Amino acid sequence: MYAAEFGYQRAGSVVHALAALADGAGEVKVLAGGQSLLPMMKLRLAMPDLLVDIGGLAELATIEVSPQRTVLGAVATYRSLERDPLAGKAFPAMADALAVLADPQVRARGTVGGAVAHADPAADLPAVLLALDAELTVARRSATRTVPIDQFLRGVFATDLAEDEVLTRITVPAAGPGQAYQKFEQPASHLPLAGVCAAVEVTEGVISSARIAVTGVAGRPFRARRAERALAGAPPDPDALRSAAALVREEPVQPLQDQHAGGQFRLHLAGVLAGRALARAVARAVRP
Amino acid sequence: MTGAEARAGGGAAACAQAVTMVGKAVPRSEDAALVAGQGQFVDDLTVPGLLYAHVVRSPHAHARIAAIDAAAARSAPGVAGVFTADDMRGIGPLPGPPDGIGPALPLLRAPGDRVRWVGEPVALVVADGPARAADAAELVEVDYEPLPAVTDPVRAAAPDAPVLHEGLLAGNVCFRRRLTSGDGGDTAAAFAAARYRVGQRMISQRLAPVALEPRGVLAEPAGDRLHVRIGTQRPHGVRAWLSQMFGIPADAVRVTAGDVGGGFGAKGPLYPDQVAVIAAARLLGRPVKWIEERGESFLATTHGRDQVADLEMAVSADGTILAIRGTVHASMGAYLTPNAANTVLSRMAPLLPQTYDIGSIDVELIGVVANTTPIGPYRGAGRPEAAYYTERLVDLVALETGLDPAEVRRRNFIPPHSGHRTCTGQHYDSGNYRAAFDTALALAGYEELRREQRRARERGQLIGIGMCCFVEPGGIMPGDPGDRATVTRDPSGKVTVAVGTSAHGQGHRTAFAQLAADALGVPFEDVTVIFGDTAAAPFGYGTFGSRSAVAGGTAVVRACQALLAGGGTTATAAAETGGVTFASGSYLCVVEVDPDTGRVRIDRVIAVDDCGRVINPLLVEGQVHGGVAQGVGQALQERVCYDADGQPLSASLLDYAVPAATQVPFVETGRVETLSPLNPLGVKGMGESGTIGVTPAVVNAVMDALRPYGIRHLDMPLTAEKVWTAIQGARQVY
Repeated sequence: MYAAEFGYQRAGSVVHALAALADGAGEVKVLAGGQSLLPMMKLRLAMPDLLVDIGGLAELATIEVSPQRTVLGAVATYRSLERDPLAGKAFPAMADALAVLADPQVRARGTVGGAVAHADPAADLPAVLLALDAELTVARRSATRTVPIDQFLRGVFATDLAEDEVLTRITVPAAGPGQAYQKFEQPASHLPLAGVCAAVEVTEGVISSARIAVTGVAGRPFRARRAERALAGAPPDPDALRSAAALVREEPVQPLQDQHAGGQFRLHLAGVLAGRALARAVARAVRP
Repeated sequence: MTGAEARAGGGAAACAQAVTMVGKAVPRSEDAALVAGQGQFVDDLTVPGLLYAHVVRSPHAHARIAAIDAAAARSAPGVAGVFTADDMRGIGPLPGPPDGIGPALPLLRAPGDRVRWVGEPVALVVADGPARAADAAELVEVDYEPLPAVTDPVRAAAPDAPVLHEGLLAGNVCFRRRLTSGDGGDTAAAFAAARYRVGQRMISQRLAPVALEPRGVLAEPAGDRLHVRIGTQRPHGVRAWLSQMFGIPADAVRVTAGDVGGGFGAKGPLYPDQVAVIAAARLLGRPVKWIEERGESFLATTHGRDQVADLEMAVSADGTILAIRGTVHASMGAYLTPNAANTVLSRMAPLLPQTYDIGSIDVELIGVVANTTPIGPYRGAGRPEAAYYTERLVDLVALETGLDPAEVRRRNFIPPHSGHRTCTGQHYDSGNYRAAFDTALALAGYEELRREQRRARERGQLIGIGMCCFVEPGGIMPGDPGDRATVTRDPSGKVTVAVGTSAHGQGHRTAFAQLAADALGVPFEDVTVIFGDTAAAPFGYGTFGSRSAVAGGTAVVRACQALLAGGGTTATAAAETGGVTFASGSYLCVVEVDPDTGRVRIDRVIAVDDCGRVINPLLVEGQVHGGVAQGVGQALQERVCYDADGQPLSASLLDYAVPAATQVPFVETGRVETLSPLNPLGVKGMGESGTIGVTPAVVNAVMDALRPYGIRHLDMPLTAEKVWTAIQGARQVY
């Protein structure tokens, strides 16, 4: 398919990009890796009048790992994240997700910010960022704000982002080694029919905190709060994990369904994957 | 030494140096250029003044066209023309099925016409660039009056189904034929006397071939002449059909296939969109190119399979299969391509006996039209369906008799032979099915696998073992005139072989060079093989149905022998006619099913093939690997789906799950060689065996894994959700 005609501008700076968004006539869209946007344009599901390309902005592509937090530039590619020696160690769940995300070609160009801003309900990395309580920095010409990812993701391809705003940074607070991501693929697209990220802290033989995020199952990735509450204070044993997995399966969400999988099966998978992600997370917490 | 071996050896012995290339694992000479991006596919070609076409297609599965308004499109930037059926008058019809069994595809549509599937070509836009042609196509306004649609073949045969071709057929039924061994009385008697009757409804689901290269055509008119570059398996066929349709002498039409990125049968027919592009080029007096988009190919390129089989076997107390009977409903899609009916009537039903000595058969074959993409040949074309139905039934026979599935097969094999007539009238040329089977089981370590399975079951692990024994007719079918080859030696001693087959991935440049090198006693590197251009290879029938080794290979050898015998610098020879060869094989699969998710993991695929004499084992392996990938696709993940209104739901690679490299299992191959007595090389066509052999083996393995749950049968594709749901619903029977 051929995209409808569009204009193209390469942003020389963030300021330039924000001005183009604010001033642009017609529909202006930000282009980063293009791995989601360009296919939509080729199918004419998206027909922007102007593309503002921020993919080349080095200031937005940095990865800074420090003891308290990691700050990811929005246009850092999956590949740069995969190859960063510190990021994988700091976030084993992210390494898990990157290993099963798309394919090498998509990872070479696709960006972490693009995934979050695009808000495909079946995307791997947002589940990890949601489990780790990432904070997003969003800029417009006149101001900058931060918003927790749980508030930013609104629904199917819907976010908190205004038309004149650009996601610039993703800040992930440091977490312990007890984290993992498990995925069940849709065999054609390789997107998650269900994906679960679990992050646990184990203190003195007890789960002091648990965070569980599920993607692919509902209109947006969600935190399985009932399961999280049930695990707080529980011993990290198979019974506790099994109960938590059941609670994930019973989360009161409206599951997605299509010819690839019904809603009940997706929820069931979420439960199974939660059990597996929790088990691996606990193992990593106890023996990092 | 058999007669065949003597003849082949005699040719080689006549040469000065008998260097044996045949049988050698020679790496393909095609690959270096292709891998370096030097292939010349249709889309790589441009000519001066080239225009580009875009097809306007029906968005409805069934509708009447009230009006077509192309005014806005005609005046859009860069547009050279907009064409509908009115512009196609005077062009003869596309080839259709034999016996006028059903309606062939029309070219385009006009007001008052009906459209009968989503994707049916309605109009053609030609402009100075592909994006501009696409933009202009959006401006063509077509007024549709939707009609009710039907997509399932059993539903389409029902008396109350929406009728596609009013007045032409009996409802939607284009054929209702009975295949019987006698008058039906023998089968009835067998069933009356049988100790067991084992029956099952089985679905061979609709598949999309998905060649790496979509279809395309570049038509270049030049005065009274026409040069067509087209991704085709049958350049000479295309020439003949175009000559007939446009009323041009065949020698004024040149058809060039060039490099073709896969076909699998779907690039055999000539399509209405291609003919419309050629017609537009002639009307405009300009060259026009059209390349199918991927999403478009899911709608516009022929699909395969789409049958519902209700079959049963009559079985004696000791597990001998006495007879087969039942009904098969086969979808033809909205219109009949030339071979769609044949696939069912000649390549499926007569092959139901497979490798077994079955006494009688009585099967009704019902072909129906439906509001779906037309059916065409797809790798195997009838043979995978037959192997699937029979091999599933054999495993159900094992279930009901309590025998090991391997034992049921052993008790029913046709003994080793060099000529066997089946109850369906097929003449198998040679075969030793027991040998391939024993080889496969030995490679698998079958007894140990069963022990492992018992231990695994005790642990709650679901391991399954499945097998498939099959025959694969190939070579020169009735009506196939065989092929010709011309061998020419130049003054430096180098040799050119021009042959009428038309490879599109099979490696003929390598294989036929090996044959010629041996036959002439020249170095392999000194032989160049050309094909795919009607100007260079004077006569041909194409490559499909596993015919080329027999039809082309034997012609090459005979031409070489004629060159040696006659002296001179060039000689032409034809293949011997009449030679339906029957390759065969035994495949075995080991799978593990995850009871928590239903996911099937294939642990092992053992593929033992008997294709008679092997020209190049690497090429045979390549064919097996590719066929296995596609066969696994049918078993586990591929299915063309439509919603209730006939809207396609799987028209993209995001939804249609062609196996990726990570989803294709490693294949352990073995070989048995029973030469064909029908041609001097002793070769048998085998290009489709992977798709025939692996699909039933995978399904049988999964059902074997699920045995503890008492689940009798599940239809393909065996997705995780389907398997998991079945496990949830079943009783656990240990």
